[in-house]
Amino acid sequence: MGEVSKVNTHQDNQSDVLLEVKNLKTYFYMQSGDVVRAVDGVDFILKKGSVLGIIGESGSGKSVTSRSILRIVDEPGKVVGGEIIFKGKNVLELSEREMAKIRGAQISLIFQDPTTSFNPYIKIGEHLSEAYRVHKKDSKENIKRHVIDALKMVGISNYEDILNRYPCEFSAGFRQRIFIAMAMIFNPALLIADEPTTNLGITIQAEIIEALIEVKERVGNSVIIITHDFGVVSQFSDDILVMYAGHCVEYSPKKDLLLNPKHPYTVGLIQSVPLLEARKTRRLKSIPGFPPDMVNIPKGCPFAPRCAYKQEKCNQELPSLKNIGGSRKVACYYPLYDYHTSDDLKLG
Amino acid sequence: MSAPILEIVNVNKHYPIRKGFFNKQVGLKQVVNCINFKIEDGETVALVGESGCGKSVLLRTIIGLEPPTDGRILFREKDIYKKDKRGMKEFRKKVQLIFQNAFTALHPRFTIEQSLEEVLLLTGMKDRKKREQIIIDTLKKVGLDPVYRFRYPEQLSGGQCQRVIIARALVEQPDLILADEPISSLDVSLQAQVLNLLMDLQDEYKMSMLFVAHDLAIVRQIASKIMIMYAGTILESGSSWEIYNNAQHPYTKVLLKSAPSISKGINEEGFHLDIKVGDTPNPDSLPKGCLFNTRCMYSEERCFHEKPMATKVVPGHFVSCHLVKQMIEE
Repeated sequence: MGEVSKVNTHQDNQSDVLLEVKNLKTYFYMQSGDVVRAVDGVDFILKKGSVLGIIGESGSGKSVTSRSILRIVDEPGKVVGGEIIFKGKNVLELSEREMAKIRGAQISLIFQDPTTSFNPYIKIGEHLSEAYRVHKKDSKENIKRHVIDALKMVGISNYEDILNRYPCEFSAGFRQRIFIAMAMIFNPALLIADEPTTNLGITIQAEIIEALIEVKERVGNSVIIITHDFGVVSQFSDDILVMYAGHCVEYSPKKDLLLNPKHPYTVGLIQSVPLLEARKTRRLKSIPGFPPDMVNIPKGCPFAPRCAYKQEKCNQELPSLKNIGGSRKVACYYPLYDYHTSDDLKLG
Repeated sequence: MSAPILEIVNVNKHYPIRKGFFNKQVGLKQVVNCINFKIEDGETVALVGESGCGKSVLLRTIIGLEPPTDGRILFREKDIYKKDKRGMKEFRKKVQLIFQNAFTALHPRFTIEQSLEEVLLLTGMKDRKKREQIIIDTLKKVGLDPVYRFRYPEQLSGGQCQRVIIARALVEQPDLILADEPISSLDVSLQAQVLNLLMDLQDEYKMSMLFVAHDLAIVRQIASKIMIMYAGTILESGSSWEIYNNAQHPYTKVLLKSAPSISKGINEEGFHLDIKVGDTPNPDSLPKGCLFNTRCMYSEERCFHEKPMATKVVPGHFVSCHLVKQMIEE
């Protein structure tokens, strides 16, 4: 498992990097002949033990990005370009058999809805031990020990009782915890959480994030958390990637992005999202217009039709993700240098 | 001061649980328990609670769909369940509901115009030209191009549908709007648009609003008074400023701590939830004493026996908690 890469073509300290996504493109070829460019050129690097938050609205391509990494994009979707380098190997070039060894053992995925992600007729214990058996043959006692270890990791103490029960006997929050345990049974190096807290109550949401943090501290795995909630990414991530219409528009360390966002879309989001903080004005500053139709994305910058700072150039050419210093990247011709979040919020 | 537009007095809503061949009643689902509050003219009151705490049921009793088991709902000092047919028609004109899921709340085979016209027809507006004019005006007010009135709901996006729902609530120019999580199904960048729209319309028409939400972040901008609901009762209520700056009840504090926040991220504050792992209590077997006792970190002996009464912290700010009461008395 712990094979170190031999392809040292990158200037970064290669041994530190767990996952590198380069210019990923996933398109959906619809029957009508339309092409939906769900993910159109996404780049990011995930270091070992770090947390990346991907934030975007529905349809911005954040879930498709995560599914592309695991190569489980649904038909008629297809990864048409780019590289996904996990532990030095391009995932897209692996055979289906090699890929099956990675799924669940080295990269796991947590789904959004904990009610539908379990088979209602199978007991919890069976779910968890199956997740283990798929990858490794072992004696019953050993499997049970691993299952119990995984449950302990997410803070479940009365495991004996739980193993013989059915999923429907637990609340949504508890089920999501069990799901995290199932995903972590092999201590994967990368855990992808696709909207793990959406549709859960606010206290349960906090509970799940607390469990994710605890697991991360114990195992030291990397996490990609996908969400549309600024609160969740602000409290649980090292870097934040903002996606809009299949493109990555801003990618930078958390604190810089929260204090001093550069892309007009990020600024708009921070200004408009309902937050707990007191604002200086009663009205929220909203982003005008609606997200684009993914079948015919406008030429040039996809955000241009809604952008208050757009100029002629934005309608013509697509801006690429450029480094603007201090490990911050923005895909914008005219990034905002003088906006500070504290202009809007009364930050204590 | 004039009388409040809406007054809820000791409202309970219980559903019987029936079983067996003879439908014998075997239990009681206590969904809404002893709720009291008032909404003044032009005021926005927010009702905040997690899913399953009974907020939607309470809204249904207020709008007249399900009579409460106990208690009275007074609209302009008159009990709505004692109104005759004509009075009820008048009441329905004056109180409108905004639904949570915009797509399912619109008839899929009706054009937007038909959906809006239906409301006007029901209240007996016979002049066709007048109806059309009202529909065009209302659509403009909610920021939709009037040509949208010929489209079907499936041709509109989620944000546009929500605007249609708001337009439908506005065509009769109501005095009171009940908004059941109007923005929770919308995309992030559209939430602010709809919130602003509601605030604009409120300033223009001077209507009152009961805004239901599931977290405290959403109502920060819009509400002047906030009530925190848990397992069918109101645990804490007070002015917006009091709730955000001087919250007393342990549950309110948890809600404040777990709501989305940028400043917590900037200050690298961790998660330390002051709540026991678990779920809201099941309405068919509510705990004795304080309803929050199953999850409260500070619960004492008497929290399990005695029901806490609402205690005044400052005028207008009430908390139902034994410990807070004790602290105030000391």
